[in-house]
Amino acid sequence: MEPRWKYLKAKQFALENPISDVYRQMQCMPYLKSFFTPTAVVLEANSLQSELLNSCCIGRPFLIGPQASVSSNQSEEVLLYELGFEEAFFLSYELKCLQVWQKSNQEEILLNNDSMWQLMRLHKHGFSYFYLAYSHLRKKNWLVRTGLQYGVHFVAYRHHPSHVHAEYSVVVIPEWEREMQMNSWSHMQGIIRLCGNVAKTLLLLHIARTESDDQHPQCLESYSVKEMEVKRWLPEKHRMQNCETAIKS
Amino acid sequence: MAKIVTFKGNHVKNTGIVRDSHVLLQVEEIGYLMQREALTVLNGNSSMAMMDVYSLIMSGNYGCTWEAFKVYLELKNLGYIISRHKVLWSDSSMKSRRPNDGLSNDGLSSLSGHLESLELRNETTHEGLQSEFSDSSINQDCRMLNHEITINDLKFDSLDNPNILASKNIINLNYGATNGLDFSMRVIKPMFDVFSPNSNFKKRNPGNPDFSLYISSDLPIDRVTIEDLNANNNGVPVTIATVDSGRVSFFNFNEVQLPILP
Repeated sequence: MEPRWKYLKAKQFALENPISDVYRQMQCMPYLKSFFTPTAVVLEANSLQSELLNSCCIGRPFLIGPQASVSSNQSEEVLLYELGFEEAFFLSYELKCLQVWQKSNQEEILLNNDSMWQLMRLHKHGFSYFYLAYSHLRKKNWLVRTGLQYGVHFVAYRHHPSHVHAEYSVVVIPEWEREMQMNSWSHMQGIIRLCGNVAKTLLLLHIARTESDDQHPQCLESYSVKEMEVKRWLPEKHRMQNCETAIKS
Repeated sequence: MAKIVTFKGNHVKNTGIVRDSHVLLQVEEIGYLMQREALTVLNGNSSMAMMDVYSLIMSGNYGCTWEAFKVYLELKNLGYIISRHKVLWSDSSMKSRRPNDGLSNDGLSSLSGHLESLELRNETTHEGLQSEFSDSSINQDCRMLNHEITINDLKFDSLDNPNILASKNIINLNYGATNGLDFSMRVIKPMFDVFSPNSNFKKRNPGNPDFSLYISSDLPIDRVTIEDLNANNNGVPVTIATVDSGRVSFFNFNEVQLPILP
């Protein structure tokens, strides 16, 4: 399916403002500070940081208002962002622009990548393969967001959603837990039907691994990803095309 | 299988395989033509009822399961031309060379030997074909294995027993096409080869099929199976069909590489 750009010069804009630039800018900034919770990683961002997070679709903002701001500059609007585990780990491990702290009692402990990985593994089943899929697409500079509204794991955009519609609905299938993520034909049928209704193509990311120990982020090196598009084939539509081809030949 | 005795109408142009100047019909083709009231099948002194043919298909002993039959009907009713996977449409090209797969002249002689005596009847419809039913399939080995099924009293619904599965694997392999169920031990092959609707279709020179069809059951197909199916099919793509609640759906699984964006 061809990318569906939302307005006339969107494609041009996307070429002139590649996502990789946003990542570079984020890497040049001082570290973002965030806090770990069992369901999300929460950070405070100033307006520049928010702009960058928004432009690469990482995190979901919610406003807390200037009174609750802990920033020294009271006039600046501060936004709180919630990041998913994959998003937070990507910013920390790949872009190295995020620090994640854990609050325990009155203390704050800085989590290193290993500890963060283990905590996230603990609180989210399948974190290792979801993260692999997320980072696989992000490294190709696709924008990846949650696919919850579409019954899938992720949706992937070529550029910011204000410029282009998502092209792919992504389902992650680890080969060692295949049935957990795609357990029947009716499940797949439902997803494909929904994808069609929202004009996206279903992309399966098949994950294989050579080692089963996923205690550390280094295990990612033993994982491999294969991309597969799934499309429904409609015999009623194709027979007329084929008839015409046969008659012409 | 059935051998056509009286020819009428155009169905024969793209249904049935030619062996030694006879046109033979597989069980799903018999089912389709009888549904269209284009065929009567005689077995001994009586003609077979639709339900008899359906029972044969449901037994699964003739290389086509009920699921596969539903898929066959769906496409056939839309005008597609369908053969069993890698079964030649016509042996006229075979006679100039000896093929290794599927059918051979040995099968033909055994078929003639097993034909039962029949009565011919006139057909009232324009499209009417008449055929003689034979309990054998084209491959002599298959007929012997059919006996094995009854002797060992294998039941096709008790699929949990691995011994039964193992025996089924051997039986199915000899048909040259499987019944499309997903068992890990067996060689997985497509069930049908499909050609686009084409009024100029020639059995002597059909060309390559547009795609092959693999019929999947409960679980969605895994990546390794898809890759194997596509790799072993001489460049002909494989489409996956699934039947659920009476509906037939077709899916294409294509390996892609998402582009790296700027």
